[in-house]
Amino acid sequence: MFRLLGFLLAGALISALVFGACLSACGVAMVSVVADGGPNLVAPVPLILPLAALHFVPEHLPERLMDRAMHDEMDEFRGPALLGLAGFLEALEDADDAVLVQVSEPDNEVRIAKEGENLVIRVREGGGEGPRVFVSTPLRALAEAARSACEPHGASFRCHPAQLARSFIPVVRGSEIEVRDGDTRVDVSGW
Amino acid sequence: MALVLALAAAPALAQEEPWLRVEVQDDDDNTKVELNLPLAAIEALGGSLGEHLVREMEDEWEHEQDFDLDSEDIRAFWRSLRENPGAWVRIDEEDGSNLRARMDGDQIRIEGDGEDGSLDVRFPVAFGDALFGEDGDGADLGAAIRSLASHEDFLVSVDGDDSRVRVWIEPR
Repeated sequence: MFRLLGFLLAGALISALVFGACLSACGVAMVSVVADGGPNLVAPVPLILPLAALHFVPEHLPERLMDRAMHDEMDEFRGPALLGLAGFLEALEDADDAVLVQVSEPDNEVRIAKEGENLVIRVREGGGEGPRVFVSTPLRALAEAARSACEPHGASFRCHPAQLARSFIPVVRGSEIEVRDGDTRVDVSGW
Repeated sequence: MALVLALAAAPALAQEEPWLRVEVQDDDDNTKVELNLPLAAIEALGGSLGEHLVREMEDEWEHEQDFDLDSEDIRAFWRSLRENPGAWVRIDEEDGSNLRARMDGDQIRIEGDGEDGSLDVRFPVAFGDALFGEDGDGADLGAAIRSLASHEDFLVSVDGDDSRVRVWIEPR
């Protein structure tokens, strides 16, 4: 009886340790939704869940769904584009803090800035009372994701959508997203 | 004292990096777009994409336009332009609008005037040299972008009735 209980406890402990290690390695996104008049929701989403789900997506599914030539053409562009993006982000990381892009209209504004180690996007719509979006994401993680998203394939690249998603999901770690629209608030922070 | 200040400022000046600045202003709907990017970042992007873009362009010309032009032809064309500085293109329309393209010292100048406004493009010749000057498999867009680093004039200036575009390099 005690031996069985011991096995069960050991199993539970090992499972908890493995799960904890996975959570620690892959990260967790804390999602908070405060809706206007609705129920409030706070939920931790382990990033291992979408990563695990992607393992069930067949690697060659996109090629089956679209014309092979079109798929190869997309790979041909996406590979150099993502490698270029990785280099772009790495160079940006070494640069001074600055507002990189600013689009100003009478009531709307979009600002993309380099602030410390992060790329920060702020969108404001409809003046002071309108919806606002704030996104902050680490440049280093973005660059690493872009660099690992496609694999060299001869003179070209192979870019599987599942691999793209697998590369970019970890970027959520260290990222923050805030959306405000009236009394509705959505916050996502990854750690 | 001045010498001390100059010596103190020297390392700071040496660390200045060139940034690409773009400003687009549309007075019609009161919109302004500003871009401010480190040239090193654009160089990284251009270095990776340049060869692919040139290959795409060659394919497009060959297959879509039935026009067989490869990068070696473009290099030969650039060399012939380089050997004939001065006025390259001169177009004068009846309505008074005009377009000029020429090599002026170490700059490639494209100027135009028309009913809707004026255009002035000033690129260093080194840009064309880096892009088309050397033999190789493809255009080195990264090196061409790097050649803009010391360009002190504006690159593009467009003035319309209600709009304005400026592109220039600014150390910071």
